[in-house]
Amino acid sequence: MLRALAADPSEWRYGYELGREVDLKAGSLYPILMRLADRGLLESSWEKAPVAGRPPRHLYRLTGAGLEAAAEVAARADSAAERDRPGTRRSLRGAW
Amino acid sequence: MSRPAGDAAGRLLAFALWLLPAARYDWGLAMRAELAHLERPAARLRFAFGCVRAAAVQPAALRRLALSAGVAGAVTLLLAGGVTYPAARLELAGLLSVVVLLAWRGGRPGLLGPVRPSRTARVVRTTGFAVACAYLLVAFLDHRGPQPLGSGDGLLPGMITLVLYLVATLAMTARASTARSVTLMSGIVAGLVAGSACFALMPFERALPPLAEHLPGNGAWLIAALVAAPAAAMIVVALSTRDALQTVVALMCAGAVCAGVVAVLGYGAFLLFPDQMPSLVPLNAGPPDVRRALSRLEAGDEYVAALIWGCLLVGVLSSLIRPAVRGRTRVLRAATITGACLVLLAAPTGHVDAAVAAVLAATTTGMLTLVSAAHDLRRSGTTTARITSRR
Repeated sequence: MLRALAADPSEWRYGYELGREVDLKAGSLYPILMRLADRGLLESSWEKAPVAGRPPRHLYRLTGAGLEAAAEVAARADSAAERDRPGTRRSLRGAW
Repeated sequence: MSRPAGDAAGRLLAFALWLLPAARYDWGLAMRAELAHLERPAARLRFAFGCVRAAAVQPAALRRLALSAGVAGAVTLLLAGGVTYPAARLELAGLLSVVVLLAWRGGRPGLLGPVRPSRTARVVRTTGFAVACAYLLVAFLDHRGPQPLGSGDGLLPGMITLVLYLVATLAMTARASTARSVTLMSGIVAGLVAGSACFALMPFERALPPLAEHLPGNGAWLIAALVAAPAAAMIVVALSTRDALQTVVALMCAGAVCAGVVAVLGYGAFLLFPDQMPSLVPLNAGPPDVRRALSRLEAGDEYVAALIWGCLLVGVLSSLIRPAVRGRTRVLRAATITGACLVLLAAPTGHVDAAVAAVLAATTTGMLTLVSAAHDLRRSGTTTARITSRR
């Protein structure tokens, strides 16, 4: 989720579209978005020019703190991937 | 063109919105707006189900669901569970409605809520509701089927006391309460100890000697426990808060809990161990089940005194747990304390009717003080907001 939101940090995203991108259903998507917002990592806004006859949708994007958290998570994921790369000690140990 | 919100998906989403706590209302609107942009019925339904799942895992929604399930269960039991006497059914339904109403009010900002963000406050409040539910269950089981005495006698005093205790518990654990965690905990623990000691020291219905007679030293040490527990609570609270009012609140709390414990143990003994209890009525009073019911009624009468003292202390306690800002609140508080003093004068001198009238007056003014203090707080909050906005 953080990676998807951090891909283009300035862009406001719709919830449903975001859920489809990261393959999360509404039941998982909204609790994650709520938690991110509670921790100050996500900011939200209402659509300024909604489609005629339909209510304005909620839009989401990462805050500064959210971007930092996304970078940290990405760095951690990269180092874990590096550790698990074939030929490293850990993967050799696993091969036994 | 957007689909109507009245289809199955729309109704599911309305349920999700109902489940969401007030603080998450914007999220509910966001879900509704997303749904309005979905066209395919299957996608709409899947999305709406997901939203219900997201709403249902919120802690406040879980509490709401549990409360609704509890109410539905209690109402079903009440209607289908064999409470045959209309008066008893009406009283039980009334008590159930009041408990549900208090649970609802306890979650909203105001006189009784929301609960303070402290473990002690949450534990005390949960225990209060557990006791109320246990009382409801016992009263329901007790009034099932044909009654030997023909009606639901003895329910009303217990119900009134329970509601007063519940209101005081909610008010004391609400955010605006001035009673601190140490005050609450010390008062309650002291009340539990003193109540058990007091019950053991009292002669049981003038028919059995006190339980303490069978204990080492005839239970004289229980007298020390009865005095020492509230004294210890006062010392602990005085040392940790350095506040005389908190010390008095702890003492009142201990007294109210003590009175409640004595009444529950006295009345509960006849419910739990009917065969071990002595008959308080003559043998010619009727068949065994009628004699047992009459004995229990007699026992209830005896322990009503403890309930009356409990109500008085709850009234005084309620008048002390909010700051008295305005003159009217201070007058009501003074009236409550004066009423309590009159009871202390009238009861030992045998003026029972005057004492009971003073208890009623003091309890009423105590509750009015609580309401008036909450009104003061709201007014002062509004005034502060107005001054701040002017600046």
